[in-house]
Amino acid sequence: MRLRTKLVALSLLTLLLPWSGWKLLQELEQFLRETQQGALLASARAAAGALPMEFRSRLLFMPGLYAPMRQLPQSPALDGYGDDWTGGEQGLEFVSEDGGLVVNFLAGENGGRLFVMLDVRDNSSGPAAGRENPTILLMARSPRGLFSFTISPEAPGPVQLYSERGDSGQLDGYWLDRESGFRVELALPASATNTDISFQVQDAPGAGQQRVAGPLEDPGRPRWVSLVPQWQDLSRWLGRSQIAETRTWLIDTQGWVLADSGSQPTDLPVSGGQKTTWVQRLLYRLVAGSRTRLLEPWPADPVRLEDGISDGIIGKALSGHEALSWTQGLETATVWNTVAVPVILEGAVQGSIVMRSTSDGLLLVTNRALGRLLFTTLALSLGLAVGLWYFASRLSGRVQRLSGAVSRAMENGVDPDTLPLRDDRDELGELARNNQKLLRAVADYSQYLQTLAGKLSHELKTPLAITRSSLDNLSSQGLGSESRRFLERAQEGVDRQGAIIRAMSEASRLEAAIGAADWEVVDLAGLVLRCAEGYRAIHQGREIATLLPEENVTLRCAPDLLAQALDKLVDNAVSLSSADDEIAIILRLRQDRCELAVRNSGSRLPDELQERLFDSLVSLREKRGAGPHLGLGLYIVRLVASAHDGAVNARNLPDDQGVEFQLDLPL
Amino acid sequence: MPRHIAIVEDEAAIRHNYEDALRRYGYQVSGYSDQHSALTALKRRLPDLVIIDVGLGDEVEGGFELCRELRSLSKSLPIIFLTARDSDLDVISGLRLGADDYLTKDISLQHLVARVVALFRRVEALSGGGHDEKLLQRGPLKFSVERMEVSWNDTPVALTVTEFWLIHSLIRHPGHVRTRQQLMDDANVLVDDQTITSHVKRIRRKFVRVDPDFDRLDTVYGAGYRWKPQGAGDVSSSAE
Repeated sequence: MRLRTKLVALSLLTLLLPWSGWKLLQELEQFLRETQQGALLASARAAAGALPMEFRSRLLFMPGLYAPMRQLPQSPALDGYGDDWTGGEQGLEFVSEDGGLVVNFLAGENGGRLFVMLDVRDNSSGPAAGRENPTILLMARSPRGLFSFTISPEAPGPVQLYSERGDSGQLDGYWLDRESGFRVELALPASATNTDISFQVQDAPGAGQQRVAGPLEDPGRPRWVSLVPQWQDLSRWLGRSQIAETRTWLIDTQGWVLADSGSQPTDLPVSGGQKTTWVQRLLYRLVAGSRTRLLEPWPADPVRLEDGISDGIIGKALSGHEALSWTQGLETATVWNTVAVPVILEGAVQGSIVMRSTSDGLLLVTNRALGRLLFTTLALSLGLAVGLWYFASRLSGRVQRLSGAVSRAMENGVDPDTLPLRDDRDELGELARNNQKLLRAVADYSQYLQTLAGKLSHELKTPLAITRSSLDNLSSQGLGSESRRFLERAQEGVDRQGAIIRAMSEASRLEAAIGAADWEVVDLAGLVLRCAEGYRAIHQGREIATLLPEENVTLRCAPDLLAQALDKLVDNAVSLSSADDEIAIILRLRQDRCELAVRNSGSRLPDELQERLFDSLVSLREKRGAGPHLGLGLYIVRLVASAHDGAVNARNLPDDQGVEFQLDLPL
Repeated sequence: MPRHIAIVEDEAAIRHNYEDALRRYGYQVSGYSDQHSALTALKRRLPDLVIIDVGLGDEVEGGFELCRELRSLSKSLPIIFLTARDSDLDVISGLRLGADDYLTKDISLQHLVARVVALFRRVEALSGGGHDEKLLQRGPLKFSVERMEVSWNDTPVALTVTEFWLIHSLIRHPGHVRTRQQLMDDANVLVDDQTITSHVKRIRRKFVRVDPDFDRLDTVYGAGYRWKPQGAGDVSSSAE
């Protein structure tokens, strides 16, 4: 892993910041939520417990059968459509014995007039043969009198009837046929208060068959459905005792709303009615989605509260347990907290106080806090990551520059004083300075090694000259044969020393020669051929092959030096191999350079020496030859190569086929 | 009267050895260990030949200075340089100090004496004059073995004794390659290939100075050198 990647990975740790912020936010939301629901629950409990006496008794003595009387904001148009009936289409349901006929009964009041809607659904399919028109028997009793109607029109449309029995009165209405069943919307002559209604829907699905639904089974003794309007006084009381921004209902055991504290304030203080964006909704769902169910909002003035719209808490409350829920509108910003507390009278559940508070504030507060938090921390993380990335790039760039420069300096002997970052004040600058010192020491050392041989040979020449001249003088004295033998040995030794000393100074002399070399454009193939002839003459009995390219290889070079390098390589190959091994001189033309290689079979380079092979005073020969061997030959090859801006290398051929020494010369 | 040779060498052991050897061959020898004593003594009476070490004690190039001083005293005084450093050879030749030969210190005494003899022979031939029996001619090259004189297009080329013998070795068989080893044997020097190469280069330079078109001295890479005979007529020599 590169330094840059590491630091960027490290900077990812700062993502913990938004994450922990997220967690914190969730806790905050939870806390707000618990505070709110605690207050709401306490308030509902208080309302349920402190229900005034009169309402308690009213609750206890509810009529046997009753339907809620809606307060309609305006007179509904008598057209058979229920869209001007507020509070939804939930009413009292009556079902025929076979279940095929379902009647939904709604009652409403406006300006003292009583309106009734009968929504009849016929579950049996299609109009059967011999089917009669359905008939509705309707009775109403009120302080204004008793009325009785039989509604059985010939065709759908407006209905106008007069009371058949009892007091006279006119019924206006509309009969609307629907896909399965029909709907009748009626305005009754009876008064809107203290009225009871009874009715029966008759239907004949087939010949001889009769289905009836409704409380009016016996016209002589009808079961009356009391129409109970919402308890205004209780509603006011509930309105007074509730906490702000909530709405309270008292429902009976059926879920019918008996009292309603009134509409919730719509002008919400925080949201101001503005819509939330989907991003905000998504964020909120992420924060609190697991604790908030998405549910349709309730109708504006619900008539009946059921489990279906209340996340199951009504049923729980009516079975005697407190319950609460958090819901969110499918498309709104509003979050509702609903609690339901049972009202227990005389040891039985008689109803429930349902309280609902709107808390779009929660959503928005959450969103705002979340938004700010997320934005800040993300921006911070990003900034940090970018900063770290920049820093790491710079750092790794500097390290790379330094290491590249150091390795170049190691390879090509670049002046250590040109290292980058030397003047930087930080640790890298220190490293650069230390590297500089190190490289200088290495350069000094290799310089010392390179010149060692030359210096030594110079220093040794004078004592050698003393010895040699003394021996020469001695030899001209009259010596005995014994002494002459010793003298000869001594002279032989001196000769050998002389040879060694000359070899030692060869490299330094070559360095001088490189400066004075003649540069000319030479045909390399011709040079190799002529050299090879010379080598064949010198190393008689050895096989020396040449492999030359077909193209003409001309190079501007110092032919003297190249020939000398080739001499050394061939000498080296001869001494490394035995008499029957083959030696080949190979000239290869590459795109931007040519390679002059000498290859011999029958030997192998030790792995550990390959790097230093071309250094001064390094020898890989194991057996001692006749001549002095100081490991300067390949060093001379390297000097020649670098004089040509080229390089040298040595490698073992695959499958132990031998060794190849190669001189790369740029064209 | 024996010839008088002066040796200027700071290393006493070498000086004494050389003195002894030369005396054995019948020369009168005086040795000096530094530039000043040598100059003072030699100014009084010039010797017939001077052998000077390049490095004299602390004066690394004291020998060169001494050579200049002596040359100002006498144009014809034969001077041989002795040196331990190979790089000095180029200086000696390059500065044209007027040295007649130069030897590295690892030379044997026999070689030294041979050089001294050769140099005296040259001086003798120059002063005696007249009989030029051994004269080789290779085209524009005239080569007098007796006088150790070489001329190209009748312009004399100043060669040292070593250089003279190298040319001699090459032109004896024009067109034939002489290996470096053969050249070393012929010139009676014991050096290595690199030194032979630089000797040949110096010779070439000296000829080029006389004739910029000079190209007879041919390098045969990997083998050695040869004297290029230019045209068939060049091969024929006069008397040998």
